[in-house]
Amino acid sequence: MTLDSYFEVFESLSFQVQFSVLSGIQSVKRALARDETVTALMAELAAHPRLVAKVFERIRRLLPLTADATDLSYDESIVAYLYCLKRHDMNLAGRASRLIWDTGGLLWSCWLSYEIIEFIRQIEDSLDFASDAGGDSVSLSFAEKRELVDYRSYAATNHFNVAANHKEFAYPVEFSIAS
Amino acid sequence: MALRYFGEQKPVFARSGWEIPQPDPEILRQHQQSEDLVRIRTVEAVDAVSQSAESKAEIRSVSNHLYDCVGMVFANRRAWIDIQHLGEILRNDGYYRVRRDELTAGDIVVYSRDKSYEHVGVVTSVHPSLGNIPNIRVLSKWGKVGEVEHGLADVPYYLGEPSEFWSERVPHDIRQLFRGL
Repeated sequence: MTLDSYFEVFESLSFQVQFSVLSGIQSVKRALARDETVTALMAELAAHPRLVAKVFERIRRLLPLTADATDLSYDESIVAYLYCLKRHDMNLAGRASRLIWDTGGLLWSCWLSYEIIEFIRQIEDSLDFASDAGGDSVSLSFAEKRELVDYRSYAATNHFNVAANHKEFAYPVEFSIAS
Repeated sequence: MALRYFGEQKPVFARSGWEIPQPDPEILRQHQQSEDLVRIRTVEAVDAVSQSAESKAEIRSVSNHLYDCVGMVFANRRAWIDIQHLGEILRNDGYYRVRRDELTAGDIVVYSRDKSYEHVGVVTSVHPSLGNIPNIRVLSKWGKVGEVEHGLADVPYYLGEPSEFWSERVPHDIRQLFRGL
């Protein structure tokens, strides 16, 4: 299937309705994990990582349409895209989550965005704490700051994936950059 | 983050007195959907369910107020209660397991998929039908869409299959004792 074909399926009424009948974000995530189209898109993104940015772009294009929804709110399409994004690129998933949250009006998408934003915040707080505890907060050079930012991004993605593959968002984040 | 304020979220208490956790109010405040959208989606969801002629699913009500199946059964259509709290509510609020052939109106049907609770509904009627399998009708709220009265197993795929039956009615033998008083 081409990426456009996936978009067509994800944005169809029948796809949206099957996830709109569920009773909580955990149920939605379980259903998305079982859905054949979603798992196929995730495999496609794993094989062709450059497509991840196009999924992010698709979320950006759909968000303005949600306010004028008649029979399609795109909530379930967007949450499915976001679910795929967070498995492949935590940085983009975080950016998409902030866009979704600021747009508002949606349920599942806002709920998953909230979890992702909270998760990233926990990791950042944890890294800040580790940084402060190590006493290395004084006068970092530009190169050192750049390295720290890259390291945080890498750590956040890895830590998120580890958590996502076990019991999502259930573990306290412990991280140290002192070593 | 820009938030719309729809009033303070009120706590929901189980019958046994503990406060049932609700989703973060910031999430629920974000949600908006028109009644038309709910109606269209409810019709689509009902049409997608495979149903026999005698157990046709019927839409009971459509509302854009946010409550789910657990909120319909245990909080009088006034709250969104995540399905993950269902087991705790049933265990702490005096419900006990019954067999399928013991079901009567008012009992609870729990739907599961891969051992996870996914949905809950209330039995509205049990009628004898052809053969020995009674025609059991259930009322349940399908997530963000409307309330539907349907046959026991006629729910959307991701809501699972009827797996457990619960009741809090006085057992039959005790009812006999009450009659003697």
